Amino acid sequence: MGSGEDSDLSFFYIENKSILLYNSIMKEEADILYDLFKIAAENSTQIADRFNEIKNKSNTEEKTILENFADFVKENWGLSINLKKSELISVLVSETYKNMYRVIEDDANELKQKLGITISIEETAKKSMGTFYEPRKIFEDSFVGGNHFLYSALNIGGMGLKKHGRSFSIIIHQSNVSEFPNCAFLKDESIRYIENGKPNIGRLSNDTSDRQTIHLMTAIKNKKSLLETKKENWPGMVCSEENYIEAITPGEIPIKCINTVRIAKQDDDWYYDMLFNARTISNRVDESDLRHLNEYGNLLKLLKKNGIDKEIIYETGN
Amino acid sequence: MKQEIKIIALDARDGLAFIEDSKQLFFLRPPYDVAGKTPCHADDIEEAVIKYGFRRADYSFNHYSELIRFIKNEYNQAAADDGVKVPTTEELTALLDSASENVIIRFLQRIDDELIPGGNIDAAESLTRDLMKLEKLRENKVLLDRSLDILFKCMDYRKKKNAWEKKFRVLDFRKKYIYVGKKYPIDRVIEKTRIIQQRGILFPILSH
Repeated sequence: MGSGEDSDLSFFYIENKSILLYNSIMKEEADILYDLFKIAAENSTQIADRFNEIKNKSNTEEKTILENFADFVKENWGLSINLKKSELISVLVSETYKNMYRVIEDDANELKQKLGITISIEETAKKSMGTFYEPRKIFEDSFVGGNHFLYSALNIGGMGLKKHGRSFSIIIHQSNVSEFPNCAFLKDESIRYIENGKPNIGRLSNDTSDRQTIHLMTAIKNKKSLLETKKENWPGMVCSEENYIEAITPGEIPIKCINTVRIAKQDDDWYYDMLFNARTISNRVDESDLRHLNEYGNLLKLLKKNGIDKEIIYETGN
Repeated sequence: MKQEIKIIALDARDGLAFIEDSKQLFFLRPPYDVAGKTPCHADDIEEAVIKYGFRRADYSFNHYSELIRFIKNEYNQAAADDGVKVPTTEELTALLDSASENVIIRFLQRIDDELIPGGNIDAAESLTRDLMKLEKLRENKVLLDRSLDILFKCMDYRKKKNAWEKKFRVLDFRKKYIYVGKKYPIDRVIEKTRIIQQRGILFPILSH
């Protein structure tokens, strides 16, 4: 097959009982760097077609729910990044949300300047990421600008992925995401597309979307649970620890792009209850409570200074 | 009863830990109460260590309170190393500026429900006055009226307290209750007696 023909080639094929789309940019030669954002953009037509196909196969009630959901996502989508308190303060102080390599690079420079110690960025990344390092590295090495990728989650409301004490959720509204040079969404976590030591570009190409069709891809992904989920639970359905859509953007996120920081009501209440006790019944608070309180106060000051809103989220459970 | 509780992974900087308690795994976070202790799986710990900055640990304790004290000390140390100080009274007062209307309502409610019935009048008055400096409160007539009501209650409390003190002094408390008068400061006895009389029961009923 000549290269001219190859560049125009696209067809559907079956793999693991899934119908997948092949096109010329999926050539799996080892030396090829794929363009994730281009793949995402080129998948728009396929996503729109699949959404229409699902809609056409649905009854009137299902069709209405599907359309209402897609409209809701289109209206409300944004990106969320969940952080621990100390991490959020670092982001606010440095005025940038950086990817892991940049954070290690900055730490390495500081160590070199202050103590004259040189550390290997790759070795440090490997050490801090453990078994997670290898698939992430393979994923990033497969794409143009991969080591500048920054990961977040699609969010249509709620606290996002707050497991392991990451109880502060940075929210970037879609109006600010549209300012980013690019943004690609993946139905699943990026490292899950690594199979046998390389990315499954066929599956990934089928599962990716850009900003234009993200509402349709979200509807396609959640079509089954959507019919059993009340509207108020849509945010939790779209973004939970077990099920979320990963967003990938190139480069760093300056804090001027952050619109809101969300905190659960029970956490905000804990800080203010400590403040009440510290001001009135001082024997109910200890040194660690007071330091937590001081940090929260600093965090709120930094949010105010940077024009970032604090939003309280009412939720049940922990 | 003695039991062995273990910390198996720790993030000292944010006071977070994974623990093993009665052969079950839990994630623990401030305020380390029921809501701050959630069951978890071994995979969660692995993920937290790999992706979220926790370090593996192996510390054993006989009591839950010892374990909490340890986590708090670790946090204090790590936070202090990062320049986080214990706030001064002025810094705590400045934090009130960030209070939302809902927080102000909760504070006024707690002053009314806890501080005034408990005879903690100086704290009640001081906090109410600081809250009244907030624009959010001054611009809200309902909250302003409630704050003034609290200040009147504090004044009323003091008046009644003074009347009680006079009455008890007339009774010559020390002569009537010789043993009590010798053992405890007279002002404390008068204050406690007045509180018990006011609430009509010996021990307070705590509200949550």
